[in-house]
Amino acid sequence: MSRIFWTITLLLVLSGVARAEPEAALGEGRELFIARCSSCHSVDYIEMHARFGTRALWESQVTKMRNAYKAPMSDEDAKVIVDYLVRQYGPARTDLGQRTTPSNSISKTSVAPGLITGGAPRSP
Amino acid sequence: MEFNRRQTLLGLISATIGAAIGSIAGSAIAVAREVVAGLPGKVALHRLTHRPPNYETPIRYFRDTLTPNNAFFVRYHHAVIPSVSAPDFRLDIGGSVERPLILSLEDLRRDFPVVEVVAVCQCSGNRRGLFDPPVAGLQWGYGAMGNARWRGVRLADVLARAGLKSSALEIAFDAADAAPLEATPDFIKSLPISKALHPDTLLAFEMNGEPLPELNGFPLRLVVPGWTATYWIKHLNKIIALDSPEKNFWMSTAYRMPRSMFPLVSRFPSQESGERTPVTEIAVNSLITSMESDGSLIAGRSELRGIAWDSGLGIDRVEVSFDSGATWRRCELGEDLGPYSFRPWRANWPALASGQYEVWARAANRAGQVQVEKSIPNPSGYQHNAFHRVPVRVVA
Ligand code: HEC
Repeated sequence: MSRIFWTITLLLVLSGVARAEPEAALGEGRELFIARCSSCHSVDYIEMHARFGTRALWESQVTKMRNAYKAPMSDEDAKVIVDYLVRQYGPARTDLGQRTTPSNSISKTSVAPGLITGGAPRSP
Repeated sequence: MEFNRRQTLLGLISATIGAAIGSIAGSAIAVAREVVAGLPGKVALHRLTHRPPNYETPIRYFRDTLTPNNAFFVRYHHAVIPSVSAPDFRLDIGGSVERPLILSLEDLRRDFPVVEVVAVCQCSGNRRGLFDPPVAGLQWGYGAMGNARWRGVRLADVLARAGLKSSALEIAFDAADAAPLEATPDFIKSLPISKALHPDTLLAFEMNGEPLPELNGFPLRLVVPGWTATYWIKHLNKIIALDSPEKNFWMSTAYRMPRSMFPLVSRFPSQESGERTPVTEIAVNSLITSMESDGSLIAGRSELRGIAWDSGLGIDRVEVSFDSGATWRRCELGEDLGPYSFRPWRANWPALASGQYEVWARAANRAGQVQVEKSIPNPSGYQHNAFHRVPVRVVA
């Protein structure tokens, strides 16, 4: 498969999804985060971890992206991005944490009314 | 590459309708983001991620024993999703074989016996989002699974035609999808010879009487009854017989768990390393499917039914408890579509005084494996099979 094919594909992927995909949270480090973390997948991969997004979690995830999936970035970039993630997608962001708890699951204690799907969300 | 590949992602995304549920105001928990999204050829599913697309099936679709194709869950690791034209499709079979083959779909249908199997396809990480403490990875609820009637040819027959050499240890499978960056490990999985040659392991081109949906692997996917969906390679285009274990990231590092915690019946010896074993068989499990729209059951009024399944050893019994597991009542099992299928079950309501209840459901299989009260925490969040617990409302 040629480089050109992949480059075109990547451009299509990036341009086509810009409108529909969730956007990165505002905050210091955002530009670098978008540059280094959105070529392979959408930001919802990050959002769904916010309810337990401790520094240790984000450090391990960024390391995994670099080592396992070969996400290109320098050590300095990684530090800035981890700081951004802890601030914007950390447990302090309870709004995000709640929004991204698993759907389609039944809580043992709480049931949210109005879900149209036969499953209710789990309490955070 | 012979494939006529078109980038379908654009189509996918443009067809995505935004979260359509604004009206959960008043609810304690905002859920708008993950509830509804449209994918081509699919009803509204729960969206976990846009790109690559990962969407789970709402529980109500499991009221049918066979999961409808248009509600079947969608799972991709990598964002470059091929659109393969059926006439141009070729399956390449090579490696440790006497006669490497290149087969079209027509060749497969014409040259080999066409067979069917009903089997559950369940993501290894199904229910990962329910682990406590939480585990990183896609935060699936209950719907990263489905049950279908798969139609295709036996992998064993195709390998026999190619003349599998006796030195072969594993069979590896590659597909037409790809990662956006070339450096990312391609998604390749392997099977031990014993599982590859099992008569129920198929190369499937149909699902529930129709061609495979695009997002479930058109035109050909591997069907590995009893084993989790990580092995069920979609858009399959390459089969390689290997004399040594497949070593790529997706085999050697990902999809593994501590062996001592999970005594597997069906193992993958050439991939076991010390304490770490690949996820193989589906754990015995059950699900209540008859909840009202608010996710609870109304005692005496709602139906009380669901499904149970395992790795093909066969469901022995399903039981429900209304007193936190102190006593269990046996349920009635329904139609039997074969050992790898969802097995429907139902139960009658006991008399319940007014108060707060939860119904718990658990299944056991013929090998004596039983669901657990609390799922066993493990680093990647696999094999979640805790009792399904649903709130019960008693109305006067
Ligand atoms: C080179 C491609 C690539 C880049 C760049 C990349 N990722 Fe990933 N990421 C992946 C792949 C592949 C997965 C696994 C997807 C799957 O299985 O659905 C993943 C999954 C994830 C997950 C889910 C956890 C998991 O292990 O499955 C998180 C969180 C994540 N990425 C965060 C990030 C962050 C933060 C960055 C930027 C520092 C980043 N990614 C950059 C490829 C990449």
